[in-house]
Amino acid sequence: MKDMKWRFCKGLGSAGVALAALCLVSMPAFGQENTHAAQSGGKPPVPIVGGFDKVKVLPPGGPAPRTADGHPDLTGRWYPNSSGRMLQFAYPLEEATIRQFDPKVTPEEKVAFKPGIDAKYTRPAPYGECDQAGVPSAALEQISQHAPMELISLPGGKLWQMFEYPLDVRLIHTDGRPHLKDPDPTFNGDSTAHWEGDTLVIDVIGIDERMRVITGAGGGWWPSDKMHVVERITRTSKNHLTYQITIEDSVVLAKPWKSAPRAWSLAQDPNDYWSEVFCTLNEEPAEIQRQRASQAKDK
Amino acid sequence: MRRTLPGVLVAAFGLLAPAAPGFAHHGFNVEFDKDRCTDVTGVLSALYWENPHAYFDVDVKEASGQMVTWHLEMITPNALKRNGTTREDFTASMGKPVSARFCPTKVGGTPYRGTAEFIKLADGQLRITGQNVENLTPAQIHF
Repeated sequence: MKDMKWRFCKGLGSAGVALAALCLVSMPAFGQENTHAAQSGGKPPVPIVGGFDKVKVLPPGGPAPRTADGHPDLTGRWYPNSSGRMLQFAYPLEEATIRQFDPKVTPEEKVAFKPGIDAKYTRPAPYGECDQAGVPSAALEQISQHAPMELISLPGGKLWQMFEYPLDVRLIHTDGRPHLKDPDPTFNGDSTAHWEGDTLVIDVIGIDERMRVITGAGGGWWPSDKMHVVERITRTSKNHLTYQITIEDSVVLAKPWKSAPRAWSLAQDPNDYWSEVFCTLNEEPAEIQRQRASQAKDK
Repeated sequence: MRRTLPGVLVAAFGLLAPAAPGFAHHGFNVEFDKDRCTDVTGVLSALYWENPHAYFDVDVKEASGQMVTWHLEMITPNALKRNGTTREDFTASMGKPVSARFCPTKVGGTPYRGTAEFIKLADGQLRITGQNVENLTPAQIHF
């Protein structure tokens, strides 16, 4: 069991904030669980709602289904873990159930920027700003955001990809067609894909330079119009797929950044619903303004 | 959307100017103090079931007798719902005693504002409402 950092002060609410401050100051930084239990009157812990104690790594579930053309059918709702449901880091889950890759087995290198690049590429994002939906961030940032991805494969070489957060809808042509000759810059870019065995390889160009790149491994950067993204999706079984992304940018990156093959798993709850997470920035305005003023001052 | 029960004392709305992680896009360590996380017990007086952060208010009587309202941030409604906590769960507790574990804003931040790690509603069930920055296990939570 992890060290406890609980600074217990039972009855804080009714005792008031001033007392709370006194209580906080007077409490040891690291209590002991048995001490805490005594303070709580010996009450047993209450189970946490959400069924997290039943979370497990899904079995393969059988082979990947296939479409009429013989390729793996990627259709389904997918969660960025191995458990087939939305999880919360707040519950002490087994690592294998919630992580997207094991860094000891498939490590991801840190991003290598070109020496001397313009500071505009590494400028921070405005404080509090919601993540912009697009390629490659919407898929990569789910390592920490844990939102679902919906894939819908349709006859005629179309794959629709949707993310709940950041809210995103994207069409991927899977018939191997060439890129548009002069694609308009868009946040999802121009995507064309082909099959290499059972792996769908998606090639993306034409991504808007305002699409902040987030790998989910900390930090982020702003791309040049030369960014080129290659995604590889492999449905390894009915319940699991891997999603690997490589980012090239001859202006910003010293070498391509490659993600691990990150794990996704098929939603198991037939009643799982698709929600809308439209980011409305509903935080405390004064707090946001204060942080942005501080950010500007630091420039 | 704010939901209140008529007749329930809701104090200090001046503090409640629309403030508001699951889908964290503003930094915990920037705004909130993980070293001052604590428990609070009071009356549930409002619910804001909206993206990207849901919030609830809890009215608390201070030692001085003054009523204050803590405005506490949660994760997104979709994450709450998928993990077993619905808007109905909150509305059924409106006007009733609830307890929460939360971390307040840092010194200099908006008073009586914080982010909630866990809540126990009137049904006695313990629910995850935010980041567990203290790495608490279920056995360590006793409201």
